[in-house]
Amino acid sequence: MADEHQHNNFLERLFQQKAGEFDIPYREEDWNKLERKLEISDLRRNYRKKIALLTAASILIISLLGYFTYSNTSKINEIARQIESTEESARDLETLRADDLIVADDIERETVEDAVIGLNEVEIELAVIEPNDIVKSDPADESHAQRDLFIPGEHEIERRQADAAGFTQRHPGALVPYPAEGIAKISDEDRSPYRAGIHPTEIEEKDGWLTLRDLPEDTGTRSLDRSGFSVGILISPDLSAAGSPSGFHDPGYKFGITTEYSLSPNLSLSGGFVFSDVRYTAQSGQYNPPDYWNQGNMPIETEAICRILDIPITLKYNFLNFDASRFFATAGISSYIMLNEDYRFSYDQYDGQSIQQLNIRNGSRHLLNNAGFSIGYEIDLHQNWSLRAEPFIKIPLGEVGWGNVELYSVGSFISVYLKL
Amino acid sequence: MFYGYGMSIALRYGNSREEAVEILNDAFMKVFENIRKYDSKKPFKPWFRKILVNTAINHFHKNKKVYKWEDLEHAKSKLVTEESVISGISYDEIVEMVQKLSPAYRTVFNLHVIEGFRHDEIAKLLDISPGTSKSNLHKAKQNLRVMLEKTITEKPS
Repeated sequence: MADEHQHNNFLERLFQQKAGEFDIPYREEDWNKLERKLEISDLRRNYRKKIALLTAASILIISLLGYFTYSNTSKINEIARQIESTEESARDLETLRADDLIVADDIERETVEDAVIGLNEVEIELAVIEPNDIVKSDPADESHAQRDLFIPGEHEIERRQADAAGFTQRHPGALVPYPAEGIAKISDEDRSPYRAGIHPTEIEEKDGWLTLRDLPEDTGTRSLDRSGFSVGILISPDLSAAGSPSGFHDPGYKFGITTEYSLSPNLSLSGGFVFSDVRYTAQSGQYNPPDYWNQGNMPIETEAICRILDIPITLKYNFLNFDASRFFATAGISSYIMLNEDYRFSYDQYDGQSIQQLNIRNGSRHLLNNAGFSIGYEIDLHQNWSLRAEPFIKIPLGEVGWGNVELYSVGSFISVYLKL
Repeated sequence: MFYGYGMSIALRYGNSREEAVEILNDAFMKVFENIRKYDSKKPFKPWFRKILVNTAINHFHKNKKVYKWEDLEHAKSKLVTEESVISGISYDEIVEMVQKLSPAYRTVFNLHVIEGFRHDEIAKLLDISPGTSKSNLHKAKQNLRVMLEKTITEKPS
């Protein structure tokens, strides 16, 4: 035991001492290998820069479009709210005026009756009840009521009614000029479908004017009651290739789940998990295992079947809206987790010893290394359900897998979404 | 200037010269990419050595499932005690012996004996238990002892 311990110490000393006694001659081919690595690194860096710029530009454009849509929608919603308030105020005022008339009629009738029966006390009492007394019972309450309900004065209402009548004659279908001096009163004809809920409408801005536009029954209350979240399941064929978006091998498939949040009516952000069965064939220059692997005997062709968990983050913009359908574009970035990698290697001249098959399950992660773009069409199947067809392309920002492959994928997602 | 120094380390971690060149070149690439992080007030060699050893550990993790190696039969032979004989062994022979070890034994041996890491540190670096690290070191030394004896006995006296 003591001998073994002593010998172990001696062994350690020997290797420690010898490790420092190196005299390794320089080899030109080692430098050449490094030079090739540097050149490839430069090329990849430039390529990644271009793709990153393209992705950033796409995301920026979609974000800007979304922002403008969102701000316009907010503005229009605000105006709609004001119109609604004005309508309510006008309705309240009309109700009050009708009540005034009833009271006035009562007063007149009672006054006559009183005159007939000669009750002077009652006549005096009723005579002091004037319309203004009903509305303006307390100056403090009146100011509150006017502020809350936006009640314009009687002359103002009449003036606005006259203006609106003239305006609607000059501009049939138009409600109010925007952004003009304020919100005018809306005629009953214009507002009745909206208010009664018989036919849902929405306000849209056109050539500086706000007009009412009919909405289909299903989509009339689209953005009013929902959380903004949608969940979807998707499936797609997958055609993948190494090195360039061509020369596709056998098709694989993708399926997954996704959650989407509407930032505005036309812009949404989504994320999810997509399981991908990816099949591709790589030629010798496209498949890059470590140089020393297999004693440097590189295959001329590699067939790969990889199981990948794709985790995308995507911005979606609806660029063309119809009554119950829309066209959209997406841009996003994906992270890949390699679940399983199966490779079969073909050699120019098989030496009988080289590795022919390889299975890797190291769960390597490739963070934000793939950009995805798509253009799709979505149709509403029901108030809450929609169906999408979405052709896509995925472009590598980096290499994936044990073979360090630049993986391109195309396909077309078919997805069903449920609005929550 | 750093080629020989780097290769002397990489050769001990790779199982061939080609793998050692791959490790060294990857380490050089990391040096080029991270040269801004280097503090020029400190000596370069330790920084470079750290990068190189980390690169070798990354290679170990990346390729541990595809290495093809055969463990040596544990020969029950007498212990080599003649230091004077062993001192005649060259650096190349030492490197060759280390390269013949399995990747797991080789890496633990290098990290513990040459770099001076403790077993708990090695366990964290290689994602193994400290017990496995100790066991691998023990087996590495056993294998090296067998190889040393073989080398010595084959040497003309």
